[in-house]
Amino acid sequence: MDQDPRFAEFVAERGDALLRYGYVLAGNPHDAADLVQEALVKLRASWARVRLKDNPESYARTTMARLHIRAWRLRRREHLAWDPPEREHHDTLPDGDEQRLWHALAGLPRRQRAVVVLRYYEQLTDEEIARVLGVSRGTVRSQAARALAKLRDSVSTESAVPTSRGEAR
Amino acid sequence: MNPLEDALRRTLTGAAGRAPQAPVTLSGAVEARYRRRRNRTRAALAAAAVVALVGGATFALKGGTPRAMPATPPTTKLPPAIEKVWPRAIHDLPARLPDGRAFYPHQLIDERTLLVTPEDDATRPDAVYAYDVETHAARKIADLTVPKRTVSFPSGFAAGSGRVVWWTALEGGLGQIWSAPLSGGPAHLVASRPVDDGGFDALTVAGDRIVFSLEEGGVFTVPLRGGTVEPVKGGADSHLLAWPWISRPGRASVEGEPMFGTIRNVETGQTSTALTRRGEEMVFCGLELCMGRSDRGVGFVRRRDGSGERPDPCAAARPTGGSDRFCTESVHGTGRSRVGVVLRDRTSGKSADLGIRNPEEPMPLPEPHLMFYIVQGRMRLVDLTKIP
Repeated sequence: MDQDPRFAEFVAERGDALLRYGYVLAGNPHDAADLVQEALVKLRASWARVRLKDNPESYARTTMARLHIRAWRLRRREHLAWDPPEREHHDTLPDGDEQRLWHALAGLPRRQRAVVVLRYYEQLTDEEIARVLGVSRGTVRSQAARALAKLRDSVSTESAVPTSRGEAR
Repeated sequence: MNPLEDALRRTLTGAAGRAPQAPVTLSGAVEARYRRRRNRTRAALAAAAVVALVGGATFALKGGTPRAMPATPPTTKLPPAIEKVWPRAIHDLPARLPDGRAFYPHQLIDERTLLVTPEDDATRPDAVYAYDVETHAARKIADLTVPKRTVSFPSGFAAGSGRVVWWTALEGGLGQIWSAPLSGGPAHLVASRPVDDGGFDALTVAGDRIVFSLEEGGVFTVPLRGGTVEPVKGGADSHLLAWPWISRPGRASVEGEPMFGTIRNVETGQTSTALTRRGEEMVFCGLELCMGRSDRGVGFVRRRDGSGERPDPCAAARPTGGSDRFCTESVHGTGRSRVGVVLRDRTSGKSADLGIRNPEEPMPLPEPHLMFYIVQGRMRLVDLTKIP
């Protein structure tokens, strides 16, 4: 199948948004670029079907989340076609609590981080997260609880973030 | 939402604003990769034809892939070729196994035997092989058993004491460690253990035992031929760096604390705590070296005790947890176009041109002992242990 110009338009219009999502999922620009590229290749392969029946962006985002949590991707990081510029320079990092939290997020297991990103960046419900990740809602809730506990512990020593243990959902 | 959740939302939204922008070439790069992969799949389906009609298959593989060859010589100076700089380290291999499948190299078991699994972007490994880097013959060691409800496919291949080991994980979080004799024979399940969703983050053979750590933390051992999993004394919440060295908290360090900053030898009890300076960021330590950014954002490298500090020749390279001594880095010409990829040695300061000219060729990543990449349809295997 020849390239559909609508696919190129989609990439041009939504590439940056997908890269932002990849960055909060993966925590660094290189893995973010890797996730976006891999998801777009899969989307390209299914473009005709996805464009007709599904939402291409939703398809790409779901693919990225699933790729991120698959452990066998740990060895795949070399498959990168372009070098994203390193933009996380010292002067662009936020101060204080946000920096502490961003750092603490790096210490979470991949699935816990994915749950956190889907809940607090993508604003998905636990049911939606369960569908995206292909796990049960109970798993989502337990992963979220464990992630929040770890983040709370990580930032509680120095942080000004109040660490009330109120259950959010 | 409670205050922590509010802060999380702000943190993630703020971080998203620091993400890099997609290059204008993204659509083209995706298209090229899609076509290359599609052609590879077609080639794999026609494996017999690939073997019989090598010339035609090669043409077919290249036919759909717009390969951007360097039309003009690089404008940026590259270091000498790796064959000249480190001739003993490089092996030139066909990019495919004798049966036509692409493969992934895991470990050099001895001078000429490479542990490999046939796999590419689209398929998971179905067997593990011993590959002779001189004769290019492949010998199957074992088929890889993948039970139903497996969600993490065979990973973490390591060899030692006449066995090869790897892990998988079942849905619901049951990690499984497998073993097979290097001489060939069926794989058997050595141990099962509940794991967090990240699974195992390190797995190695140490004498007659398998040592592993979990992504959630915790270092354990189990007899190589099966038996009871036992926690390593003092290994709770720790991670295996390189046996017998473990670290807590390992990669999951708190802000300002280096990854693998404090390590402990579980056989001798010796500990090593890396020197850190106030305001340093993103500090990662290996067994010998630490690297990171100073409070002024300048990349540095130094020994764990703080001696020998100098600007990091790899400061512009993407950070990896693989090797603390080596890094790879793109060399760009005028504009942002990549004209080559170099391997840098932080210890000696030497660099070598890897010969990669196709800007679409993936960046190779140095693991602690091994690195590989593809150039003009050949696999270049770099035995990093042979670099003096």
